[in-house]
Amino acid sequence: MKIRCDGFEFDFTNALDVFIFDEKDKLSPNYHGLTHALKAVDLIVELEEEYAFIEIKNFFEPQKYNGNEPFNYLREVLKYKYRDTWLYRWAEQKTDKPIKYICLLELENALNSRMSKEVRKQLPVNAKNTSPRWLSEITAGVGVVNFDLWNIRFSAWPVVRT
Amino acid sequence: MINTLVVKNIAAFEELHIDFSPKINVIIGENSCGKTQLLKIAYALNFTQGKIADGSLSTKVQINDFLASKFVSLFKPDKEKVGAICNEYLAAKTPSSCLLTDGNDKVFGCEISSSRSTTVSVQGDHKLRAESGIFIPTKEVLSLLPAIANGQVEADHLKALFDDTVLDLCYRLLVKPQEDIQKVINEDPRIGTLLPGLASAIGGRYEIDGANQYFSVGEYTEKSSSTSLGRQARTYSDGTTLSFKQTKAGALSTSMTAEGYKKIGILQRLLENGELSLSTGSPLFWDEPESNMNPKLMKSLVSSLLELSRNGKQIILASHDYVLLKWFDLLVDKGKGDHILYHSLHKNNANGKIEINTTNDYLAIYPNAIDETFEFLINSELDRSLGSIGQ
Repeated sequence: MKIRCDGFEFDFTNALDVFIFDEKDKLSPNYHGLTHALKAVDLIVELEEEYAFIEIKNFFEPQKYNGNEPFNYLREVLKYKYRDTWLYRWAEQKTDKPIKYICLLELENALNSRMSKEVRKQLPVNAKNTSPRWLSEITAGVGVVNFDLWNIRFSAWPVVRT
Repeated sequence: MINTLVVKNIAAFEELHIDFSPKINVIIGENSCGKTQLLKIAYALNFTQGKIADGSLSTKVQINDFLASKFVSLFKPDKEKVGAICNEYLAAKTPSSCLLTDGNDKVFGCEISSSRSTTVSVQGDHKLRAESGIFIPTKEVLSLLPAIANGQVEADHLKALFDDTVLDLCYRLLVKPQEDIQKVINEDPRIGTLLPGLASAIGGRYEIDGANQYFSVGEYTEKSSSTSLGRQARTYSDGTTLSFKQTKAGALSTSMTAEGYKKIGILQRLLENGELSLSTGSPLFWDEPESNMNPKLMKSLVSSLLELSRNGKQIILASHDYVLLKWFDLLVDKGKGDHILYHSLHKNNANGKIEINTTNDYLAIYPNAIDETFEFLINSELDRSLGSIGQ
């Protein structure tokens, strides 16, 4: 299942469904009309057993980070995008499977490793292990990868630059 | 300055040709790819050139003997035979050799015969003069200085314990600087631009007085001078004099200061005593500057190296460290004339040979053993966090 987004073309070969979340075309069946309210990730991938929220971010856009410390700002953006998307999906009654969050960033492996750790701290991964109060998981996993590592890691989801 | 180095059948190398930047060279690669060996070969030749330049060696026989003993002192080969640094099997077909060219493409080097009676014979222009570069090894050396300065350990014992990268640096650190730092700066005002930066990076200055070493907290301050400076000095120092002001009474023992600070202390001392001369363009060889270094100090260290390079010093270093590499990438300023070549040493899996890829583009370093390490780590992290999704 191929889809183009933010300068990349992905092929989610084993997906049941893939769509751009913030669909701008009002005639599209996925148009939601609430972009003024909440942030959202770029792509939703539905698999047999789980969902993947995919966010694509080009770190090197200095105009977006004016007055902010870039690394922390980016971490906050990634965090809110996931949380808001989760709310949207709850309203759609589509939080019925575990959700994994994958960010494709144009950073080196060392910096992505640090970003992974930071985002994982912000989004409670494996909440059920923290307290018996939590009966459902909010996030089943977080990973931050660059283009090269995406193609190594997600062999069933090849990506090319467009 | 070293322009190129060609090594045949020595140490890990069957045949390797490396083109150096006149500014900064960063050699990376996995263990056993020969990073340190490469530095030592270049240093052996460059050091010998320095001995020719200062008149210690004049005849070919003297140079041959000196080179042979230098290789032995640097590599510590089996039975102290210089031939043991050669690849015996390959050397039977092609003679072992190492040749460097300087900025004027003049050649200097040697051939090493690994026959029964090993000999080293100098090649190229053995009258070529160049100042010896400095080699900073991975091993911490400041703690050795008191014993050497006091003569507590005999030279033979030192030779048995340490290779020449350690001992050469110790002897050069023990050279006394001129008493008045301003005189040093007047002779080469570029030093006046470097010393304040190094002192501010670590908040003070290392001082070595024979067996006594201490660290003074303070900074360099400038004041207008009525002293008449030479034309060259005026160009650089703009009629100011520089002096070190202690801002805290007393001095710390060197052993009580951080290892990373000591590394910058070594640069301070070598600039002050003139051993790290900026005027010759002779290289500064540095093996793993990151060893014992707090990563937070790395920015200061890399800034200092870039300043040295901007002031004429050729720098050749070997590293395993992402933080060091990344700071070079972030701090390089082409507007200031910076130029960095990254040399990736790697084993060709098809033929087992050590090869080298050189690029001036940080993102184009290939193979990048340092980034691969992080890829391995992040993959393991993703296994744990994401399982087999997308596979």
